[in-house]
Amino acid sequence: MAAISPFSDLASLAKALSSKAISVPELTRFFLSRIATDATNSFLAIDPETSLAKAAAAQKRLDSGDTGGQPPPGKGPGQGFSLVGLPIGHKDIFVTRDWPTTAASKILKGYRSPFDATIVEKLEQAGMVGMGKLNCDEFAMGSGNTHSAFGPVKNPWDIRAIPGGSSGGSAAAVAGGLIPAATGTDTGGSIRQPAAMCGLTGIKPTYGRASRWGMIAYASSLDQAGPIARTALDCAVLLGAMTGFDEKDSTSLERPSEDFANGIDEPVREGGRPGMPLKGLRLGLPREFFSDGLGTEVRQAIEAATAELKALGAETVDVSLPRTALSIPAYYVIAPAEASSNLSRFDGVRYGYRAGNPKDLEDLYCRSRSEGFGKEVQRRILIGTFVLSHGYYDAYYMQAQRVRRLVAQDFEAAFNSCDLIIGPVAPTVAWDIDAPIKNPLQDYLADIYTLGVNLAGLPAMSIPCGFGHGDHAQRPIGLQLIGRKFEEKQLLSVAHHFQHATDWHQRTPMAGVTK
Amino acid sequence: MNLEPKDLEKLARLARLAMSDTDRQEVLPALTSVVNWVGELASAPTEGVTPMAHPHDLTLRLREDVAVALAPREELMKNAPEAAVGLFTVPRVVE
Repeated sequence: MAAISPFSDLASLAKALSSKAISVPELTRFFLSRIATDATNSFLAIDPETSLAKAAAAQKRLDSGDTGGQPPPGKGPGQGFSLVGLPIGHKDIFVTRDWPTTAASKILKGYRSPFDATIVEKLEQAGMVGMGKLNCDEFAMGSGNTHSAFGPVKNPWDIRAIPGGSSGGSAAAVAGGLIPAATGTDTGGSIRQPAAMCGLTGIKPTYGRASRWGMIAYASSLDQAGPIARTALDCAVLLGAMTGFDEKDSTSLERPSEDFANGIDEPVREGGRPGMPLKGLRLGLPREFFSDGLGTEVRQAIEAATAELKALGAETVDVSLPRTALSIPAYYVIAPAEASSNLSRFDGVRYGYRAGNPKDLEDLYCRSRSEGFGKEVQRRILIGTFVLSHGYYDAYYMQAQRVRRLVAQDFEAAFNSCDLIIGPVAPTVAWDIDAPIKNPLQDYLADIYTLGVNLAGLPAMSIPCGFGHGDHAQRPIGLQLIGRKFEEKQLLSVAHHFQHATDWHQRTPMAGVTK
Repeated sequence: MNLEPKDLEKLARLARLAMSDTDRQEVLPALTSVVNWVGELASAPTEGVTPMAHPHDLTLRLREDVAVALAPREELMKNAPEAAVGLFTVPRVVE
């Protein structure tokens, strides 16, 4: 048992399993006992018996030499490892047969899906042991995990702080050492921002790479699933298992998954060499990401990380994303519009919460929805209804879609002079959970560096690169890497080289948060 | 623009949301500020730009028209808040 810690990455846990230093049931019990001590409110549902049954099945697979298609550590050509027997938690946006699914909303309290989301099914087929469901913002709408019907999630680094959102439970659970990896979803930054605020690595793939089947829809043209874990290598292996064509999702691209871990430690461009693995790589710094709104402590951490990447051989070029500020209102028209349509399915009739003593069918619909949905969700439904309504559709919704194309074109133009765009994930470190509730706009503006990526459908990730100062010394900062469509492998490789040279990803909360 | 109480009334009706007077008082200013703020989009020059509905400009793929069994009816009905004889029940709609 000495070989592992609550903060071990998946690669080391895989090694411990394959060397038989620990068995899958032992590993599962170890993390179940960690979850039992959770004081961050990260989990919404666990079922130890189910997880242990999965663990027993995974142990059988390992004993029979089945490594889920991956070579044993050190034996294969790549850096990949088998996921068989490794624990994972799922954001409560993915429907699951084994645990209730709520999307952190009262309207779905107690809901049991008759099927598993494709992402859940794929990770199960890869041999991973599901550990339960993770708290998030209601229907993934929020940036601080304060909009959950089941209470806010605390950041294990500093329990006064939010963990970020909407995949806040996913990030807090991994950061606190309750599980080594989790699934998340990212509609406007919901994987990258909590990963940043919890000192973790997270990646949102190109739109259409990961199946949306069984992922409760918020904004269908923006939603993508991805992993949150400790290292770029862990994320590479998880992403390989999560992605690939799915006939059940009409937005899934007919493109096979890739072995994202294979060659992850090789030089990124021709001419690179050990010690200078990023030689020849052009990093674009969008000047709009470094304007007045960026907090000093974040700016300093990003500048230090940029210097580190240059020391590894990369060069930097100035680029411009002129529509960065406009991407926020464009997003907050398009996402609520799609949400108002997607959330019309909750009517109190077929599943979910139903208001008592309805006087007629209309009353049943209206009261079930207002009693079941939280305030932020209702606000976004109303905004979406407004921008789609007669007389406003062209001025708001169609105009937002035109701006969306300009945002995407800005990225294309920037990629003419660079291979990768880097910058901050969020303007500040995590804010206080009990920070006074301001105008909703304040929260929306904090998404400035992440939204454009979703509008354009690009892959992007967040890696830990520092901490705040003074009172914020325990609040992590993330560096964002944005790639061209389908260039996840390059993102992951750059992140891997950065993590080889730095130890930000190995830092852990001093005590963790336990009861 | 200034959203009036009657505009909110109409939106709530379209969205099938019941709102109390307190809700309305709270929601109206918040909604007005968001609507005015997203109104900034109007200032962006977009003449001749084709609206973008999907990140890859693809038409949604249709699968073969083949019946597949998703889940048995009984299992699907288990989530119904109210059901009778294997059917969803709602308040009377026909007098």
